[in-house]
Amino acid sequence: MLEQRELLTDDDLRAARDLLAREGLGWPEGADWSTAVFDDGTVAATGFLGGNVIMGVCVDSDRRGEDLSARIVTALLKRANAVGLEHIFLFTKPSMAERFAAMGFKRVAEAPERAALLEFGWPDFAQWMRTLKADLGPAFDPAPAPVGAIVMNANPFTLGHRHLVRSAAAECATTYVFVVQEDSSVVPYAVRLALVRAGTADISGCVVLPGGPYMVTRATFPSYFTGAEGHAPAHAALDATIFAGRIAPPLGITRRYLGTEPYCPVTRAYNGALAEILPRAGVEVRIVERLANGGEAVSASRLRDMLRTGSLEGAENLAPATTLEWLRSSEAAPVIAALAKGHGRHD
Amino acid sequence: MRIAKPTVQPIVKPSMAGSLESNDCLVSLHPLAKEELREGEEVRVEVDSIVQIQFGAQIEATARDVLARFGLTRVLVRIQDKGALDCTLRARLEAAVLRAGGDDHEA
Repeated sequence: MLEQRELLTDDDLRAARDLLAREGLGWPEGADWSTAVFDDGTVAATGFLGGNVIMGVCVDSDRRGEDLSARIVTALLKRANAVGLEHIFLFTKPSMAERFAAMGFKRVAEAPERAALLEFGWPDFAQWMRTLKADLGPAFDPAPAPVGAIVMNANPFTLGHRHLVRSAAAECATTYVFVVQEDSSVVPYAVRLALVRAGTADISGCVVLPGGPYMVTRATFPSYFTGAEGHAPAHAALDATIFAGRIAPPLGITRRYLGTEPYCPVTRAYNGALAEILPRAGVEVRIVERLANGGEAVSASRLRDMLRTGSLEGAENLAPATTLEWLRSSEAAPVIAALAKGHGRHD
Repeated sequence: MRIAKPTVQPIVKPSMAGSLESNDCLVSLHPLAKEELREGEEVRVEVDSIVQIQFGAQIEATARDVLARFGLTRVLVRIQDKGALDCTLRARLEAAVLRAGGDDHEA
């Protein structure tokens, strides 16, 4: 008797973990909902949802051909839909991409032998790009060349970010600055975006844009948010492949600017993947030495460390006036309180 | 056979009905903003079927018929068909339309 339900008990979880291990898969990081097909207590197939990302879809190899993966995927899609998620990603091995494409998933990109990302729902990639180009308007179709791009979390925007943007803008007619849209950082996305806009308003040729669902998100680059270093190379390669193959060409981007990364191993892996993958697609990677003062790199994490102490003494050496003004406002109080309490990664 | 009453039902939220299993289909309904529609377009139907060549046009016609009976416009309907019969397809479409209007019963 086949029964489909959520994984609930410790025994369920153990059985699902065993199945994943037998099929060569790890426990999916960041899952918040699961489903499984049980056959007399044993797990024949399982799958997970973390936010709007489907992962860990796995069918016992002795049970292939019973349409179990279709059952699992249907349940995951419906669950996502029921909680209001209209656009769903699926993260898998490249060898599995074809099976999901047959279920109606569209390929976003594939980093050969590492990872594939597919999507289901609306708006899809093509629609997202149409909207982005429509928002940019005819003056940027095509944009004045050369076109450079920077992707930043800007948590919050510092003089280091500003130095990177100015370096790019000095060499490019158009500089697109994409702000990571995933709302997982201590400074909310809307504030991060506004502070990047305010802090770059005087830089000519600089256009600040939402990063959207395809640049450094939980779908394209999960380990950026979980900090799982082991998976970082595969995720970084996938994110870089999407940028190189799907984002840069329609926007005419021929250069991507990066800051040197002295601290974070995941970001360093990301920079490595970009430097390896982008040039093959005709996008040059230019690395800008980090702005330093007092012998230390100016970084958002240094600024956050300062905020943790509750004092803004010397903050003007790290952040532009626009960011400082926000930090001194009442709106920043809950963010500073959250930092003092000890917020997690990319805090 | 259950026949949904043809009423004018404005779509309020995205919805889904059916499944990806054999002899069924998965219908997803997405409300569209005006700027997401092309000039003169009221409803967009996308069909992906394992019997596309033989029945693709018929599936689309059924979808348009059901939507018209409910008076739905400004909507994207996606049908992932795994060989559903026409009556199954209609039931899935009706369920998706009803759910889009706030009816969450399983169908």
